[in-house]
Amino acid sequence: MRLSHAACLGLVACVACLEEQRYEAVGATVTLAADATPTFVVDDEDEVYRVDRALALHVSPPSAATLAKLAAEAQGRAPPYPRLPWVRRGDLDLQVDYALENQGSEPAVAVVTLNGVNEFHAYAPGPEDLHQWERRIALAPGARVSGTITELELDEVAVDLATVVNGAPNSNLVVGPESQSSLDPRVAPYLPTVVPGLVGMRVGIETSRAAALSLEVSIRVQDHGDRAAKRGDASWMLPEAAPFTPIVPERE
Amino acid sequence: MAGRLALALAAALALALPAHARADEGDAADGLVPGGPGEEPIDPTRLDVARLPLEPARARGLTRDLYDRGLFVEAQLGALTYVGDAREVSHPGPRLAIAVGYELTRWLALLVEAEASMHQTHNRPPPRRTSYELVGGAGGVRLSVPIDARFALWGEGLFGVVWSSADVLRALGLPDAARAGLSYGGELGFDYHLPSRHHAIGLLGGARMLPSLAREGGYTLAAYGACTLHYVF
Repeated sequence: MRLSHAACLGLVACVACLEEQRYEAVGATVTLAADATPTFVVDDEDEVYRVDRALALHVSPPSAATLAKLAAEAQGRAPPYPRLPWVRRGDLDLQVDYALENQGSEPAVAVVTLNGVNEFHAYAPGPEDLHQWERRIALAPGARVSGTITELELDEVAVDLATVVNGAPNSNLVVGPESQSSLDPRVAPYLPTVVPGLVGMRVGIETSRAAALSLEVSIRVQDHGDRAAKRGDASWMLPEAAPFTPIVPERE
Repeated sequence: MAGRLALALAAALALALPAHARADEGDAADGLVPGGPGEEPIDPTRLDVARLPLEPARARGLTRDLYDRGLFVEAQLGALTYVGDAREVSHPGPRLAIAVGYELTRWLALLVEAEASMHQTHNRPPPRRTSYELVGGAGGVRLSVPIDARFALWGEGLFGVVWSSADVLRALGLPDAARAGLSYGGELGFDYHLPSRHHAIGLLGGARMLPSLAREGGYTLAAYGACTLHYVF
């Protein structure tokens, strides 16, 4: 009897170890050319060079009946979406690994940026707004710096996106790097009861001077909610998410 | 009356003493002293084998026939490394295997085994360096050649399947690594029987081709070594 129990525990441990995880967007690259033209000019003199690209996760498509049920369940809850999300917070744990390389002969300072995309909205900051996740990196000529955006940080990105869409009056306060909106009492009233999970993201580079930079990324996905499409199966073709421009109070 | 009794005793002593003296002479000739230590002839009907004289193992005729034969289980603990494509993105790692088999004869056995090894990737991020498991199962035939009563050399051929749980290897350019793939190869090793009917220990080295862990047109060979503990039921 004890032997059979031990065997069962061992089997469970093995299955737990072998939980589904996959890598997506492997080798996806964003490049900024040394002779690029500025994307924005702020205050008539400050140049902002920004390049990014959208990365969509392979999500399994819900059935029409499921979507109808999600729409029906949204009645009376008044979420900031037409229906409840198919992918909710915690269904997919995401981790983004990146490497930023200075391919030029001059030192450069660049910001790696990431903004979340859920089933309904995509965060689209202006030139003076904060990105949902950003990290400033100084690079010597030819240098390559790698890093990881952790599952916790990307969970915060999902929560922040749902919160700002739900009417938080200061988006920068919500998405600021020091802000933990799920813990901040000033933000709590705007936290929706159902938080959509990320189904994609925009990653990119931002600088104040043109430089030859290359950003390479990959996304690790751990599927806890059976939402990731099986390899080889068709993924959910979502309509393009509505861009959400941050709401920032006017400075006095 | 008393004089006649004394005379009779004296006559009896005179007759008995020569006979006793003759008996002592006979015992001394055999080298035995009554009541003293001496060599006792072996009685084959007695179970008291501890009284048998000690003999060296060779003289007793130690043979492999004294060991149990039949169903066995074998644990293997060692390390596995790659040669070829997977070596470019993986470090060597620890390997554990459990084999169950049946010895049809002293020199021929059939077995199946389950094995697992863990490895760290080494690559230029992204993706960040991580670890993954390689698990598999195989069946094979083992041929043993006894060197003496305790040592035996053996070789075996194995054919099975192998699978990597995480698809990080796919992300590193080995597209079929996350699918079940074939593995085939062989092992060489030796056994040393402990002073027991059931137990043996040993060392082995093996090599296995893993086509599913290779790039197109490339190859990956898993090379491994292990200590073994062998138990025959």
